[in-house]
Amino acid sequence: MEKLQLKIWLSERLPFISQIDSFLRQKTVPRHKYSIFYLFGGLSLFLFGIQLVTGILLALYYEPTPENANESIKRIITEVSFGWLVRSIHAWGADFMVAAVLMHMFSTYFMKAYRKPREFMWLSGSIILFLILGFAFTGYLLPWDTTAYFATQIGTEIPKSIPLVGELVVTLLRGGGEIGSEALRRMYMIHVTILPIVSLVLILFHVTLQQVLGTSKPIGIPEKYPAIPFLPNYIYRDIIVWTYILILLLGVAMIRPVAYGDKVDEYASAPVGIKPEWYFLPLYQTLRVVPTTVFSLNGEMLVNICLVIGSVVWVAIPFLDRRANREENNVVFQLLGIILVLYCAISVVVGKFT
Amino acid sequence: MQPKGPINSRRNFLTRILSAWAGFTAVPFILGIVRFIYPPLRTDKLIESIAAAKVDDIPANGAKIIKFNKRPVIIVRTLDEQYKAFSAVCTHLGCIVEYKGEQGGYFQCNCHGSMFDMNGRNIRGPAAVPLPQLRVSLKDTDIIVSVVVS
Repeated sequence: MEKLQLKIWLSERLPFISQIDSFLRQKTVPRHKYSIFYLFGGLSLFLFGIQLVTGILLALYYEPTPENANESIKRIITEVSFGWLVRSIHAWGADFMVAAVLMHMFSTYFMKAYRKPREFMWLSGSIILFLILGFAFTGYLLPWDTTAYFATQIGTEIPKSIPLVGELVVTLLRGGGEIGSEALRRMYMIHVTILPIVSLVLILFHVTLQQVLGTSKPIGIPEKYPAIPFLPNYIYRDIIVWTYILILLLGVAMIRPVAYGDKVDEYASAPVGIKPEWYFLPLYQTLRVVPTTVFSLNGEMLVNICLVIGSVVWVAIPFLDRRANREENNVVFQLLGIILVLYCAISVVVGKFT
Repeated sequence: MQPKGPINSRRNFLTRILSAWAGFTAVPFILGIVRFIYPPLRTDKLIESIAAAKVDDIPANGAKIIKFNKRPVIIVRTLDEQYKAFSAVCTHLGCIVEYKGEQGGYFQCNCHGSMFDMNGRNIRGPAAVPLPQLRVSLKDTDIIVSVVVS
C-alpha cells in the first residue's frame, strides 16, 4: 500500500517517469538471426559508464604535471587501496570500449541501420566513435612514461602535414612546439572535461533517438519469432551480457594488470618496438608502408588527406547509400565495408607482429 | 529558419534583427576563445654554441644525446675519432633517433624504422628529409656543438 502511495506521490511530481515507463513497455526489439549484434550498443554504454566511474576515481589522486604525473600513478598503484585494480580496469576498459563501439558501428553498417529515418543516429554515433578514440589518445599520455610520450609525439605530429590547418592543430593540441607540461595539461583537460561533456550530450541524443525511432531491422531478413518487449525482457538480456563482460574485464584487469612505465626522459632515444594501441595500428601500419613520395606528393600528407576524406565519406554514408533508403541492398557499400574491415584486421595483425 | 507570419511584420523584423545581433556578438567571443586557446609563443634566445660533453663521455663508435636549445642533439664519436652532431629528432614524426654503432654506424628511428647514414642522410623511409647537422669542434677536452650546418 505504501509502495503504491509512494508511486502515486512520485508520478504527481515527476509525471514524465510514468510516461517514459509506459513508452518503454510498449517498445519492442526485432528478433532475427543477426539480433545478437543489437547488444553492442548497450554494451558500449555500459563500458562508458565504467570508464566514467573509474576515471573519476583516478582523478582523485592523479596530478597532471611532468614532475608528478608518473609518481602519482605509482602512488595509485602502490599506496591507494584497490588503486592498481581501478587503474587496470580503466586501461583495459578503454580497449573493451573501443572494441564494443567498433562492433556496434560495423554491425550498424552491415545491417544498414543508418538508413532513413536514422541518419542522425549514424551521424551522432560516428562522432561518438571519434570522441572515444580521442579519449584513448588523450588518456594515453597521462601516465607520462616513455611509451606514452613517443606515442603522443607521433600522434600529435601526424596532423602537421594537413594543408593550411595542420600546424595550427598541432600547436593547439600541444600548447606549444613540443610535448611538455602544456601538452600534458591540455591532454588532461580535454580527457576529463571537454570529451566527457560532449560525449555525454551526444550519447544522450543518440540513445534518445534510438528509443524514439526504435530498433532498425536489416533489409530482407525475415523475422522468425515475435519481437521482444524492450522493458523488461530486452534489458534483462543486456544486463546478462554486461555481467559477463564485467567478469571478463575484472579477470583481465586482475590477471594482466597494466604495466607501470618509467618516467619520460625527453632526451632518450625512442625504445625499440614502440607501437601504438591496437586501434591505432591501421594508421600506424599505413604510415609505415606508404612511400615517402607518391605521385610527387608527400606520402604522409597523402595519408592524412585520405584519412580526412575517408572519415567524411564514412560519416556521410546514410546520404550516399540511396538504395538503402529504398529498402534495397547495395553491393558497393557492402564491399566497401568488407574491404575496410579486412584492411583494419590485416593491418592490426601485421602492425602487431612485424 | 523562416519566421512565421507576414514577411514584413514587426515580429518578423525584430526576429531577424535579434538573430543578426546574436550572431554578430558571438563572433568576437568565439575569436577571443580561439585566441586564448592558442598558446603564447615563447621566444627564447637561441644559444649559438655549448660545451656539450667531455671527449671521454662518448666511447669510440658511441653516441650521446644532449640538450641544445631545448631540443635533443645526438653527438657521435666515429671509429676514426671524428665527432659529428645531428638533430636527434626524426624528420618523419619527431621520435628521437638511436645510434647503431655495432651494426655498422647509422641512426635509426625505432618508431617507424627510418634510417639515416653517418652524414644524416635519410637512407630508409618513411623519413623523407635528412637529419639537420650541427657544427662540432673540440676545445681542450670539451666537445663544442654550435648552430646548424645544413
